[in-house]
Amino acid sequence: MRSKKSVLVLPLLLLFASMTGACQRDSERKTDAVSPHEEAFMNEIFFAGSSTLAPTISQLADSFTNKYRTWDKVDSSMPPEEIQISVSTGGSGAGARAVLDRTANFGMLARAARETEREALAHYQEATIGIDALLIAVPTSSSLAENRTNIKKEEVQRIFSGKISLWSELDSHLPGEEIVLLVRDVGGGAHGVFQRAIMDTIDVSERAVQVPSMSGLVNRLVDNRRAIGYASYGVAREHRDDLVPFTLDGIEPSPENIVSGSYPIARPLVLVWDGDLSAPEQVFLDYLMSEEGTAVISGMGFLPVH
Amino acid sequence: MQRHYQEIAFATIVRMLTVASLFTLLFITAFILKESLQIFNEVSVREFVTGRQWRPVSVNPRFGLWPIISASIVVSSLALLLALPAAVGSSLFLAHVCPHRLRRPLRMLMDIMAGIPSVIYGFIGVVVLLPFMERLFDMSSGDSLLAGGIILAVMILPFIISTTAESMELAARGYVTVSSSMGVSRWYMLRNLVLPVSTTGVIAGAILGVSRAMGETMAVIMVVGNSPLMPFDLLERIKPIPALIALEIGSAPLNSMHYHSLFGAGFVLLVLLMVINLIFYFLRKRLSNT
Repeated sequence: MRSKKSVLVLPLLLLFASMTGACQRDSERKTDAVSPHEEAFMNEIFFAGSSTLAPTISQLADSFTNKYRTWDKVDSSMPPEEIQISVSTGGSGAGARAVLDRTANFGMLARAARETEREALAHYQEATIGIDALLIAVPTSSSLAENRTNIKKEEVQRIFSGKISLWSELDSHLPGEEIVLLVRDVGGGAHGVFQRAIMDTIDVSERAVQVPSMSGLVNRLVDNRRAIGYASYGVAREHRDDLVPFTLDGIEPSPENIVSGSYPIARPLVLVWDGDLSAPEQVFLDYLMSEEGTAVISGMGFLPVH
Repeated sequence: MQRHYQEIAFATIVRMLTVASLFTLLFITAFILKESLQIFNEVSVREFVTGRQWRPVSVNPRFGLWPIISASIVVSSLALLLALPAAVGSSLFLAHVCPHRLRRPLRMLMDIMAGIPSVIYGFIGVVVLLPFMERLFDMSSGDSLLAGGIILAVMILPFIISTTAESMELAARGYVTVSSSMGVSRWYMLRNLVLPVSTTGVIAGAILGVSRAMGETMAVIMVVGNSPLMPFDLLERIKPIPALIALEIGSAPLNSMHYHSLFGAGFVLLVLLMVINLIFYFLRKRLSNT
C-alpha cells in the first residue's frame, strides 16, 4: 500500500511544481508588459488573427522578406539578422487574444476593435490598413438577376430573416423556388458587418447555410441559381462573370462609395498591438503603408485607405 | 541485485507516465469546466441544454444548445446505422471468408482509409455528394443531415471493421476446427456461432465509431450546412457541436458570454461521450455475463 502511495505522490509534486512555475512566469510577464521591447533584438514578427487579413499580410511579408532578407538591409542600425515574419489565423477575436497573451506582436482584426479588447491591453495601439466591403449578390443564372440590379435594404432584411422563403414571395414574376441563404458563420466578423449594416436587431434565419470561408461561400453561390448571399469586394470582383452584385438602395458598391462610407456594408481591416513598436515592427508597418504595400492590399481585393 | 533496481525504476517510470496521462485528461476536463462555468451564472444548465434557440451574438442573446446537441446525437447515430451492417459484413468477410493472400492487402487498404485526412472526405462530400443529392432529391441545396451521416459512415467504417474483424477472428478460433471436422457448413458456422459470440467485438467497434463520429469536425462542417435546426428531417440542415465550436470560437471575443458558452458546448460534448461510452460499457458487461 505504502509503495503505491509514493508512486502517486511523485507526479503530484511534479505537477504542483510546474503549476507554481507557470504562475511565476505569468507574473513576470505582467511586469514585462511595461517595457516589452527593451530585451534582446527580436528578428521575428508574429501576426495572428483574422483569416480575411492573413493572406494579405503573408503576401506583404513575402515581398518584404524577399526584398531585404536581413534587417540591416532595411535599416543599418539593426543587426544583420534574418527577417522572419509569421502569420497565423484563428479569427479576429483570436488575434486580439494573441496580442494579450503575447503570442503575437500584431493582432489582425477584420472589424473595429471592441471596447473590451481595447481595455484589455495596457497600451492599446491600432492602425487601419484597408477596408473590406460585402456585396449582396446572386449568380448570373438567378432569375432575380434578369430584371434588376438594385435591391432595397428592407427586401434584404425580409429575405435574410426568413420572413419570405420563396423567390415568388419577393416578386410574383419569379419562380416559386426556395431561397437558399448563404452566409458566413453567424458569430463571425464578416457576418457581424452584415448584421450591423442591414439586419440591425433582426436575427438571420436559422435555415441559412453557414459556410466557414468566403471563397467557399462564393463557390457555392456561383453554382446555385436559387441562392443569394454576400461576397467580399475582392472575391466578388474575381468572380465578376458569374455573379451579379446589387446596388443597395441605389448606392453602387464602388471603391469611392465604400471608402467614403456611403455604401454601408463595409468593415475596416485593423492591426492592433500593445505598447511601443520595436524597430523591426515599425519598419514593417511603414512598409505596409507604403505605395508598394498598398498595391498589394488592393491586389488582394481590399480597398487601401491611404 | 542490479536487475532488481532496474525493474523497480522501470515500473516507477511506467506508472508515472500512466498517472501523468490520466492527469492530462483530468486537466483538460477541469479547464473546459472552469471556462464554461461562467455561462452557467447567466443561463441555467437546464436552459442551456434544453433551449431551442442558439443566438449568441444577437441583441437578445439566447444560448439554447438543444438543436445542436440533438444534431450531434442524431448524425452520429445515423452514421453508425449506415456503417454497422456494412462493417459487420466486411469483418466477417475479412476474418473468415477472404482468401489468406488477400487479407493483408485489404487490411492495408483499411488502414489507408482510416488515415485519409477528414478535410479530404469533406472535399469529396462538397464536390461529389452534395451535387448528387441535389439532383437525386431535387433539393435547393444539398447540405443536410443525410449528407453528414453518409460522409461520417464512410469515415468510421475502417475503425469499426478493424476492431470487429480482430475480435471475430479471436472469438471464432475454437469453432473453426470443430465445425470443419464435423462437416458443418461455413456459412452456418458464421451465422450461428461466430456472429453471436462476436457481439462484444461489434459493440467495441461501435463505441469507437460513435466516439469518432461525435468529435469529427472538418468533414462535417463542409457538408451539413451549419444551420442550428432540429434534426427532424434527413434532408434538413443541422449543426453538430464540433462544427459549432470550430466555426465560432475564432470570432468569439475573449471572456465574452459567447466564448464561455462555446466552452460550455465543449463540456456538454465531453459529458455526452462519457455517457455513451458508459452505456456501451454496461451493455457489453451484461452481454458477456449472459
